[in-house]
Amino acid sequence: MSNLLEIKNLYALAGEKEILKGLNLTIKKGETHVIMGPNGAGKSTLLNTILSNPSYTKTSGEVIFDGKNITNLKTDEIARQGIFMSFQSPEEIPGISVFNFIKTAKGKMQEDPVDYFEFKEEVAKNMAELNMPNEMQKRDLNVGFSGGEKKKNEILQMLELSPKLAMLDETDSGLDVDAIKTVSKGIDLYKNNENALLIITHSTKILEHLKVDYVHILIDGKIVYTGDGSLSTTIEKEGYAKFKEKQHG
Amino acid sequence: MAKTKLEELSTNIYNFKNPDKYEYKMAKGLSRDIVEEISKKKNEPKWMLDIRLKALDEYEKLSLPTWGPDLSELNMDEISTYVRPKTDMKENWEDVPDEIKNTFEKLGIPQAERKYLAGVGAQYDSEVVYHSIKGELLKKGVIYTDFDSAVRDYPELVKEYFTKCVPLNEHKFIALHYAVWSGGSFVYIPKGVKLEMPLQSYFRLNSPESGQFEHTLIIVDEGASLHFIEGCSAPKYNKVNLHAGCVELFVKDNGYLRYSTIENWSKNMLNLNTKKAICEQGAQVDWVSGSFGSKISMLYPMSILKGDNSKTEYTGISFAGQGQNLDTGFKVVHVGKNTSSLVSSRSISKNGGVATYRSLVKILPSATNSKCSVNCDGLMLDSISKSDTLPVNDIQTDDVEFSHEAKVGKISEKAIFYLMSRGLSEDDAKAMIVRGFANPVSKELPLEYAVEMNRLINLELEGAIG
Amino acid sequence: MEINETFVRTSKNYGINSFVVAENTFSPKNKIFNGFSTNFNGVVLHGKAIPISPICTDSKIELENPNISLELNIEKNYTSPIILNFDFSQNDTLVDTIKINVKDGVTAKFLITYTSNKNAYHNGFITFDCEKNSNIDCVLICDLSYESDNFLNIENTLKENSKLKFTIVDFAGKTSVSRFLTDITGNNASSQLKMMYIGEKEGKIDLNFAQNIYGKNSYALIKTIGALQGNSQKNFKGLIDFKKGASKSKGVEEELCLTLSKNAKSKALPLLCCGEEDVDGSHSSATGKIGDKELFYIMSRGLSRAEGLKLLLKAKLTKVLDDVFDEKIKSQIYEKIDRKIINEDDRF
Repeated sequence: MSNLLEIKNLYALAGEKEILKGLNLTIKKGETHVIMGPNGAGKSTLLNTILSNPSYTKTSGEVIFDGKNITNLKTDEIARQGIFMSFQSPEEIPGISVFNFIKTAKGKMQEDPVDYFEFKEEVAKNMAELNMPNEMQKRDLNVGFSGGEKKKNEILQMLELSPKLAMLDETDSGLDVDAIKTVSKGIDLYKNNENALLIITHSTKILEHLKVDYVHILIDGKIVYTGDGSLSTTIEKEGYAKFKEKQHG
Repeated sequence: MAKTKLEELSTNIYNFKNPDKYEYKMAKGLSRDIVEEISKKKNEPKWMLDIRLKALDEYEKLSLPTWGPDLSELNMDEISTYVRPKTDMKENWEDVPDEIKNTFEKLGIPQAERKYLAGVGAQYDSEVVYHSIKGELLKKGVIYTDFDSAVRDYPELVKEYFTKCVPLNEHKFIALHYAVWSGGSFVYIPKGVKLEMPLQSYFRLNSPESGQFEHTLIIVDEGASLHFIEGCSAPKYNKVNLHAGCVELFVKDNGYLRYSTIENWSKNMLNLNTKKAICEQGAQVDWVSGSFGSKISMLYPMSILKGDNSKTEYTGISFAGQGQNLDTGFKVVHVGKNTSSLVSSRSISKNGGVATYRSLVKILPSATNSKCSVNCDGLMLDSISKSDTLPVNDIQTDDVEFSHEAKVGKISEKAIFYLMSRGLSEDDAKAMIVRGFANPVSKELPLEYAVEMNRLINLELEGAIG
Repeated sequence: MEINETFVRTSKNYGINSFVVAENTFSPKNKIFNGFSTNFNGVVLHGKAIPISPICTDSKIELENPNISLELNIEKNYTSPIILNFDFSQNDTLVDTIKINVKDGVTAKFLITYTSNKNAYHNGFITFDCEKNSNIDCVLICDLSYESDNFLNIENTLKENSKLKFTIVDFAGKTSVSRFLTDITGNNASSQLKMMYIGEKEGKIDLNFAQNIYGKNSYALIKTIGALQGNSQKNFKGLIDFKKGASKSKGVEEELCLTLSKNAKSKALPLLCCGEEDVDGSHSSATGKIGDKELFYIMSRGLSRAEGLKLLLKAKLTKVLDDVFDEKIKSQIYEKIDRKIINEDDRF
């Protein structure tokens, strides 16, 4: 099976500080990867760098997506290639409704205008699956949304935009048990054999319902260890100390 | 040493030119003869002519404002040519600037309308639309007619209200206006009549000299309600570059009036419009205003909360692009008790445009238990433009709740990144955010206008980025 | 140019510039001032200094030369505050120019006080020139009797990476006109002005504060909180001006006026001007009285209405005093506030 995402020896700065120090990662279609690691290790930086967030600078290395070198592309070009990120703290954009925004984004992805009625039905269905009240689509994008509402909105966008690779940045943080269940459901709906998932998380709760193929430990800007799904439980019990040593030792 | 610094501060900030330049040879520009000619042509009653002549006196006495944008390019000498009534208003379509023609194209304005808006079509048949609703209006006792006809057909009513809201000598351009006014709308909504459908000034703008000095007078009687829409988002082109109109609004006890405007005068225009509303007891006036075009605008709609429990709300947006100086704002005077005002004003500046928000909140000692909240935001789209906020707050009683907030800055980079991560290009992301910024105004407008306004914003932004 | 003129021209109708100094009931007799004292060694007293023309055109008082003209060169760090004290007990007229030159990298604190308990005329001009990396805290207290006229003009220049924190406490008499203008010329500099005033009887207070930001990544703050009693009036004109090139700078302007009587009049013109895209500017201005809900809450804890009002008032006024570096001075200010707030008939 061909590689969907290949990151080769990536070095990146956040502002002036070097965060990623030669990171390597390969994701194939149909796979689910999880990245765990202590705070400040570079997990969010990795996702933001893949999407070419202007606050981060790549100093060396490559990012290849579905055979195409996307290292120097702009954010929207990368997104249109089929990469989606669920933000940890999504921006509030007053004056644009959730409905109109997703419809516009979807139109950009497809390069074709979206049929209004089809879309309306689809959104209603997905919102129901995610336990989101229908009136929420009229609200301004993320404005005044609670943490849980924001995260669900991100998952809704993921379902609507059907990316080839979905990157979830701590989508479970700050959520209560029910919300986590709903988010898991959303991920479930999304996942199939053709697309891939890259999840950053601290807790294992969200992983309970997923078939995880690989768990990577990211420490100090590099992936120091890769294991299978059971690794996450190990981390929860023992923490990262063992791996920090491994890295230095 | 210190003294020089102080002087610099006072004269350099706004390139305020030497006041002497403002002294024009006034008498030459406008004379009694011209004013009399206008009145005669309209077959006006004597009382109207008297008002015109009195205004002419005031015009000669008053001087140009010493603040605000530089109006020195206004050639007051040519006023006489602006106002002399023309029998033949046949301009040439070929003379209309390409820029205007292109905008019509991009905004999807139908052919017939284009000629009318460019001042080239003499008889645009907006009558058609008007006739269809005329029957409805007559049944309810609503009077909606052009101002010239109103003077003729409803003299008592007009006399009772004309100049009572905006006095003759309010400022130089009002005096000018009252001396040479022509065209405009007259609306009277009888007691208790609540009009569902908005009335649009568009229906009635088919008199030859209309546009520059039109006078609009609206009376909403007790308990009645009206939504009036002025202007349209298509650029209004006119060779004559001064627009000094006047809008007088009277809302009686418990009446409601919403006055919406989208102004998009062509970029050679000086737009010096005066709009004022007087609210009686329990009355409410809402202003919704979008200012896009014109080279220089000085636009300060004003609400006087005369009666107790009266209210006013203002939602406005102005977009200053290259070569434009949009000096807009809102004024409110609280006179009655328990009055409240809510002001929300936004401005966008790009490509060297200057957007200035200038306002006045005056709360008189009689206005006890009043509330006023003002919010103004400025969005800068680059560093060659300017966005200034100059609010004056004059609070003369302690029994009041007053707050004013303003912000200025640029589009958040985080917001742009978020939208781009969903596949929108940087330009599209910015446009979406700017439309979102303008949303408080567009959502108050009827759908067609809102759609036009969004298209207009897109056009304006294209100009900057493309 | 008058010190009380708005930084941007406004219509005469607003009356924000009209400030008529009350007819003076006294004329300054004493052209010598010997109430000046300081703890600073190295104050240069100039015999003949920069002439000052009348800085309020309605004033009928003409004074040519300052009677106190000082220059201070701050060349090293000072741990205890430098005190400049002007006591009017022997004199009634003070026209002072104080030029303070702060050298590179120097940190110092200043306490400047003007006190009188009888008629006084004060017309002062203070400048701080701060070289790069310097750090200055200045507390200025104007405690002149009600019959006094006070004119104060402060102008500062801040170079790269310098910080200036200014706190002004004005127990205003019948006339108090003050102006504060800082040009932040260097990058990464910061200029903060916090000001508190209390007006009473027929007092007129006219405030003109401006922070011009030229440098990048700089910060400016104007925070003014005051209370108006009796028939006092205030005009506030504030300006934060982001000049082109002041990218990544931040400016905040806040103005709160608590009106304690029906006849108090408050006018404000909080300006926010911007010629640079990448900035963060905000201003807020509010006028009102102490809220009934707050008062009720305090009273429900056993305080009388008068006590409650004073407490709430002090709580709000002292929000601008957090930069006062000396606890003793702070408590003196609090005490004075206590005495200044008058129990007027049925207000309390």
